[in-house]
Amino acid sequence: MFFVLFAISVVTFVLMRLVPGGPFNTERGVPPAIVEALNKRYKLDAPLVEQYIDYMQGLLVPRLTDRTYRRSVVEDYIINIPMDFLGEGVALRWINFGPSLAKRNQTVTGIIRDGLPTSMQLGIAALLVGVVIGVPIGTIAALRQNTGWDYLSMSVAILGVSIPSIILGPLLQYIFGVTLKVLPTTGWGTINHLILPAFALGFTESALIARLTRASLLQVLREDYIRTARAKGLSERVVIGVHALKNAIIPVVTVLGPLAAALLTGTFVVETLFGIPGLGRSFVLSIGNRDYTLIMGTVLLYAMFLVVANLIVDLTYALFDPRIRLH
Amino acid sequence: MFKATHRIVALVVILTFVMMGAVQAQGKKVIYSSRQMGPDDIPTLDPAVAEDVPSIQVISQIFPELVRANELTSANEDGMATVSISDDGLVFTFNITPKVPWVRYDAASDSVVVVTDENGNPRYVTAADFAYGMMRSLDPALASYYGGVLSKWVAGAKEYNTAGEGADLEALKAAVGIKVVDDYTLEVTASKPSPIVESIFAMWMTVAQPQWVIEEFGDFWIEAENIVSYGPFAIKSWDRNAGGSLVMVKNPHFPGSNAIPQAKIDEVVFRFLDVEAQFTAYEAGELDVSEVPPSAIARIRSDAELSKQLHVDPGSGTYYYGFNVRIEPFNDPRAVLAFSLAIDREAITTNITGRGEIPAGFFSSPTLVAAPTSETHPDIAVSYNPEEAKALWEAYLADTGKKSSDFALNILHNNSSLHAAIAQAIQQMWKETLGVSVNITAQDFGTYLSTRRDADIFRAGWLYDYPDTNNFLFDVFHSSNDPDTGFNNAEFDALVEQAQVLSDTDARRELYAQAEKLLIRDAAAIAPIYYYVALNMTKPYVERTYSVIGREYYEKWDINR
Repeated sequence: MFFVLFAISVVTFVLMRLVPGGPFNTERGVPPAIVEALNKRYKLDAPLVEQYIDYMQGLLVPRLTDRTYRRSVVEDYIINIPMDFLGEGVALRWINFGPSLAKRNQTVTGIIRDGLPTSMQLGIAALLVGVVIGVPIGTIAALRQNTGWDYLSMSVAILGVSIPSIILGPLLQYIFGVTLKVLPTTGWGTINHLILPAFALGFTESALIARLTRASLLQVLREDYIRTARAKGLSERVVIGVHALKNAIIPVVTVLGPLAAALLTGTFVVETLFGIPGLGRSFVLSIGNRDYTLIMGTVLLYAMFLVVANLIVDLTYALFDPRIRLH
Repeated sequence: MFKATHRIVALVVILTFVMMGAVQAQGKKVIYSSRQMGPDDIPTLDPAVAEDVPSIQVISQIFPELVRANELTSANEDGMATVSISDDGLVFTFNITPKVPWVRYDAASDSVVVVTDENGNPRYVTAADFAYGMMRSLDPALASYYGGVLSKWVAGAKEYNTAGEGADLEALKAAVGIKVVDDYTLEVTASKPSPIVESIFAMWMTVAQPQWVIEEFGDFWIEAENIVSYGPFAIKSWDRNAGGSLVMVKNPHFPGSNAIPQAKIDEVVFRFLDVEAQFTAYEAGELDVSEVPPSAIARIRSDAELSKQLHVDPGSGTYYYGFNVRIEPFNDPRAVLAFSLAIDREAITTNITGRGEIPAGFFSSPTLVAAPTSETHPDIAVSYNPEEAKALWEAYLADTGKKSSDFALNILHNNSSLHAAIAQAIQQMWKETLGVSVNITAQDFGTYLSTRRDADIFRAGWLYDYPDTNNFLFDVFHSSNDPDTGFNNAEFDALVEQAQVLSDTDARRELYAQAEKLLIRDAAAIAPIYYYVALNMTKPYVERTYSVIGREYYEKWDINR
């Protein structure tokens, strides 16, 4: 796991520096003297290896600071624990993502600190929408295979997959915001603001989950142990809920891992459409802006989420299938 | 087990929202605007380093300038000071409006309060604050782009601003021609007499800056909880994310003047929204002012209500194509002119951009001070002329013994569907009129900026910093700025240098017309395509002015509903 993160950090660091252009280029054409001064200010003129070590040190090595510490664009830590018993003003600080190169008075730590909670709230809500709609639809379709219910459910699923959120979003905004005026179209801060974007984001995922649930459940329903369960005279509810669904959910959970990581770290399209102050936009735009530190910060964050989500998925396998155990 | 986790997650989500709370303003005049803001955070509120439209928009409201550019006429008016200029045009004496207090927003009392010093006396904006602000913008360690612009115009500033390592900074600093005479008198010595100097003091990097706050909070002095300011508005809150917002509140302690009156609205909420989202929110009644997405223009124009709310303003810049004059065929001005005359600008603005853009006859935007226009100089302006284009190109081919097929030329533009559509149209026009086939390359913005210098032909745009033709012709194409096209013309340099120091506007216009003639005809390096426009939607209950200078003065707006 740590090796994966290390490899990602090295590859990202090297790749982003290979792309032509730099964070201080503008259409106006900045005088070379100013670019030079800026490169010096942000230590971009040092050898690449030194820059990498510097960056990783700030990120990984916790440090104790005394009263002279002052938050600045170069030093802004995510975790700050006061340790007054070691002396007045002493604090343990950890995880410094460095200054944003494109926004002169902001730190990457600050951008993540502000944007991540919003993105996570939206991500969780969208994931809920996906699961709450997807699993029942998939189940109904599988149980009523080749009936009207199945066709209807799968039509909805196909619709969900084929209408991306970039289409669904404006459609929802137009219907519920402009025409009916029941929900706000843009902004953030109340539960009402969450409904449309969570649905726009979750609906596509629900379609995916529904199809997976259906396929997997159909396979499980043909297993011997289901026949055994039925032969034992268990009620249909118990057969489906306890025996079939529990086994059928494993492929769905596998997909949910990376999906959760992607949703929690923000989504460019939905955040832009609905004007949501999340991380997704910063993530995507950092590359166009050549905001090196922001690229590193968001990529590593995403990678960490992905690794952790997959770890959680692996652990939950054991819950659903006792045969799978950690060795 | 499943259900329990779901419940916890749902609870967490709901609780977070309850804690965030929704702030609703009641009984106040609040205007919701996205104009000029775009979908991303405002880069900065620090006047010393600001270089983009959203930042400058807000800065002009909280840190008014010594000289205020009138938003309707671009003319200079008395801002925070009255100015007198010595006979030799070198010494600018500013008599600063006395007793304008520094203020900050106090969240506890939900009001704007006057900032006091250690003794409890109000802190007023003084000449020293302006001097500190200018010196900070010039500080070489800050590496400010507009500090560099300021340094060209103040005596001794260039030496300080570009000081290298080991230079005696204190001595250089002392030699800069900015002098505090008394609390309310500031004397600035210009590096040369020119009508442009006054416009420089209408720019953001010359405003007063609060030394004590900057020294206390460092890079974070501009955050809502730290910032102090003195203009008609003060900063209430600033959610620094894409999709976030910035809220300005009326500063009741600002005395107001002719050019900068007291604000009539209590609050301005700037929301950072993509243009499509802006217009949706506008239609849903969540915004009072919005910009217009290209996809909605046809619908707005055909709608009786919406079309009344639409306003087309002259924009502040020019869309043009640059030609690399270091390579064949563009080292011959006839070739560039032929390519330029073969572009049907009318067709592009009608069929592709469609927002009311104006076909450009010159590089300089027509709203600039001393700019030649198609009315004043119709003989110099370029426009679609296929016969002349063909004749020029054939003459060039005959003289050089080359064929159209000898050239493998390439248009470079940065990724955008609009740039792509325009490039394809121009590709077609050149094929039809001149028989030249060109390729098109699109690159992401960062790559494009670093490679366009080597491109054969590249798309570009220029928006002004201050509304004077000098900012177009001198600041882009004077050889000292090393333009990407490779344009380097001594005669042109002489003309724009001369126009810089003349005070008579008509005489300057004549010089700029001659300079344009070189740039777009006799030594052609570019083809101007169109002048940008700004499209705005405003709800009928908003009383407002429509600015032509690239930033709105919200202190002159009102709401009646």
